[in-house]
Amino acid sequence: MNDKNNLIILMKNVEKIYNLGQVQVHALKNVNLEVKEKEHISIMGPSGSGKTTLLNIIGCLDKPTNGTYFLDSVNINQLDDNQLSEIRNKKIGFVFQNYNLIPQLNVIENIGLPLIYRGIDEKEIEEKAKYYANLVGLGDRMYHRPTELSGGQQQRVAIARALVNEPVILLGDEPTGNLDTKTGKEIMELIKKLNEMGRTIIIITHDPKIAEYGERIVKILDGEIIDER
Amino acid sequence: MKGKINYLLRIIKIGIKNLYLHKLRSFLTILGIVFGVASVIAMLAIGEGASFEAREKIKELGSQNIIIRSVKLPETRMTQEATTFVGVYGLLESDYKMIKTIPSIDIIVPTWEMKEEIRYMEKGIQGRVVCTYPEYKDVMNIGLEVGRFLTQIDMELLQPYAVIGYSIRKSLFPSEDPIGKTITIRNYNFKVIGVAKERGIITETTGFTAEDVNFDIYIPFTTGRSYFGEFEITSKQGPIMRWERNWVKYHRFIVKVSETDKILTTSAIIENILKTNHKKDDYEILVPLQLLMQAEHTKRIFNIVLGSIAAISLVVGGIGIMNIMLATVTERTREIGIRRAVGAKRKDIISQFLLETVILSATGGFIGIILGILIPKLVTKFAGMTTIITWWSILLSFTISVGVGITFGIYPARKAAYLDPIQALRYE
Ligand SMILES: Nc1ncnc2c1ncn2[C@@H]1O[C@H](COP(=O)(O)OP(=O)(O)O)[C@@H](O)[C@H]1O
Ligand SMILES: [Mg+2]
Repeated sequence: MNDKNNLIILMKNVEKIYNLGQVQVHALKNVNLEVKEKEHISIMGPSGSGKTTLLNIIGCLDKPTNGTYFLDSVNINQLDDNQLSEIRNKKIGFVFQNYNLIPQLNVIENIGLPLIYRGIDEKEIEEKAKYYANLVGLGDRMYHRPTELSGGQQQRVAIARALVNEPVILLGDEPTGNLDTKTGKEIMELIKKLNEMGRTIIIITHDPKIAEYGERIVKILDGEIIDER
Repeated sequence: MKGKINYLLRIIKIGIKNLYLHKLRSFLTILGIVFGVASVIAMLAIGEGASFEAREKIKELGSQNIIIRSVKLPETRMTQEATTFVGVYGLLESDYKMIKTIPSIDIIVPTWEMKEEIRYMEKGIQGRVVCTYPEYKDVMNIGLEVGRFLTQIDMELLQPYAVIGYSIRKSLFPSEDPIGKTITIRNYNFKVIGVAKERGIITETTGFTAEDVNFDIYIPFTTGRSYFGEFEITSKQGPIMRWERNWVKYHRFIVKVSETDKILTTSAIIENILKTNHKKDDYEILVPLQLLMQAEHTKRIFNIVLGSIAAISLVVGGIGIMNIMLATVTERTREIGIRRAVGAKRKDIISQFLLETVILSATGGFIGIILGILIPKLVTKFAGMTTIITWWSILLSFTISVGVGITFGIYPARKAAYLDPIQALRYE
C-alpha cells in the first residue's frame, strides 16, 4: 500500500486566527489532519467550534494563518487568489447547508455553473449538467427554478453542481441541516452512493446518525481536534 | 479562443437576463445616457446643418463678393405733394465712382431694382426686376437653363430683353418654351432671352433678409433706366391710396474683390467712402465671408453650450449607472460568493459586472442614437432648419456611451470582485 500517493489532504499544525480589531479569535488551533482517497469522513462538534472554518480551508475558500496544507500534493499556502479559484474550480465540490443556488438560473444552469469558468462549450456543459441531474434523480426537473423545488431537491441540485467538475473531494457543510430527517437520510444515501462510486467525502454534521455514515468521525472542540476514530 | 467567445456570450446572456429582471430600474438608469447621447447627435446635426446652410448661402452670394445695398430708413424725410410722398435714399453716383477706384477691386456691378408684377398673357406673378449689367451673371454665379444672359450689345442698343428666374418661368410658362415670348412689366414689353437655373433658397439664419432669387428677372440696366427712370414708386396703405416716390440712384453694388485676403480691408475702405458720402445710414455692407465667419462662431458657441449639456447628462447618467450597479452588487452578494466558491476568478466577476454595465450604457446609447436622429428631423420639419446627421457623430456618441459604462462600471465591478467569498456566501 502506498499511503503517500493516495493522500488527498495533509494538514500540519494548521491555525486560523481572525483579527477583530483588539480581539483575536482562535478559530482553529494546531489542527493535524490526513484524508486518504475514497475516504468518507464526518466532522462533528458544537456550534462555534471551528468546523466551518476548517472546511473552508480544506475547500480553499480560506487560507490558514499558520501551518501547512497540502491538497492533492499541492501546497495551498503558496497560492494566490487566482490559483485558489482554479483549485476550487477543478478539485473541490462544495455543498452548503442553505443550498446556495442562484435563483435566476434553472436546474441545468445551476449545475453547469462551475464549467462556464473553464470556457467549455455550451453544449458540452449542458450534456454534463444533464448527466449529473439524472444521477441525483432530478431528470424531470431540469428546467425548473430553485424556488420551484423542495429543500431536498435543491440540495440534490447543489450536489450535482458539486460533482459536475469531477472534483477530487466533495465537501458538505451540514448538508442535511435544513432538511427533515427523512429527506436528510435520502441525501446521505446519495452521498454514500457517491462514496461507493469512488468519491472522497468530508461532511460536517451535528447529527450523530448522519455522522455514522462516515467511516471516520473527527470531533472538534474550541478549534482543536479532540477525537478521531 | 472558441472557449473565450462562448464564455463571453454566456456572460452577455446572463447580463441581459439580469437587466431584464429589473426592466423599469434599468430603463430609468439609462435615461441620463439616452439624453446625453441624443443631445450629442442632435447638437452636431444642427450645428453641421447651420454651417452647411451658411456655406450654401456664401456660394449664392459669392465668397469673394462684397454686397452694398441701399437701405430705406423709416425716417427718410418726405415732402408731400398732394397724395404723393417724395424722398431720397441709397447709393449714389459718387459712391460708384469712388469705389470703382479701389485697386483691390476686380469689378463693380450696379443694379437698380423694383418689385413689380410680371405678366404673360392673362397670367401674372410678383417678381423682382433687376436692372443690371452682363457681369452680374458671373459675380452672382448665375447659371442658365436655356437661352443666354444679357450682353454688352443689349446694353448699348437698350434692348427690351429679359432673363427670367426659375420660379417666374415655372408660373408663367409651366409647359411652354419661354424663349422669344413677350412678357410685360408696367406696360412695357420685354422679350424673354434666357431662363436662370434654380438656386438654393436662402433662409434667414445668418442674420439678414435675403431674396429668393428664383423670382428675379434681369433686364439691361440702360433699358430699365430709360423705361423706369430713377424713381422707385411704392403704394402706401391707408384710408386713401397714396403713393410714395423715392429717388434711388442704385439699389445695389456687387463688388468682386481680387483676392480673398483683401476682402476685409476692402470692405473697410468701402465703409469709409460711404461714411463720408452719406449723412445717414441709408446703406448696408454685406460681406458673405464675414457671414461665414459669424456662422462658424455661432456654431462654435452652440457646440460649447450643447456639448456641456451633453457632457453633464453623460456624467450624471454615468453616476446613476454606478449607483445602480453598486446596489446590484450588494443585492447579488450571495450570488458573487457562490460563483467564487465554484471557481470564478476575480477577473470573471469583474467581466460579468463590467459587461452588465456596458450593456446598460450601450442600450442607453442606442436609444439615445435613435432619439438623436429623430430630434434633428423634427427640428427640420417644424423649425425649417437644415440639419445634417453625420455618421461619425453616431459612432462618437456610441463610443462615449460604452466609455461611460466602462468608466463608471469599473468601481462596482471591482467592489464585487474583491468581496471575501466566505462573507459573501453568508450574506442574507
Ligand atoms: N469571518 C470571521 N470573522 C471573525 N470570526 C469568525 C469568522 N468566521 C468564524 N469566526 C469565529 O470562529 C469561530 C468558529 O466559527 P465556525 O467555524 O463558523 O464554527 P462552526 O462552523 O463550528 O459553528 C467562531 O467563534 C466564530 O465566531
Ligand atoms: Mg458552521
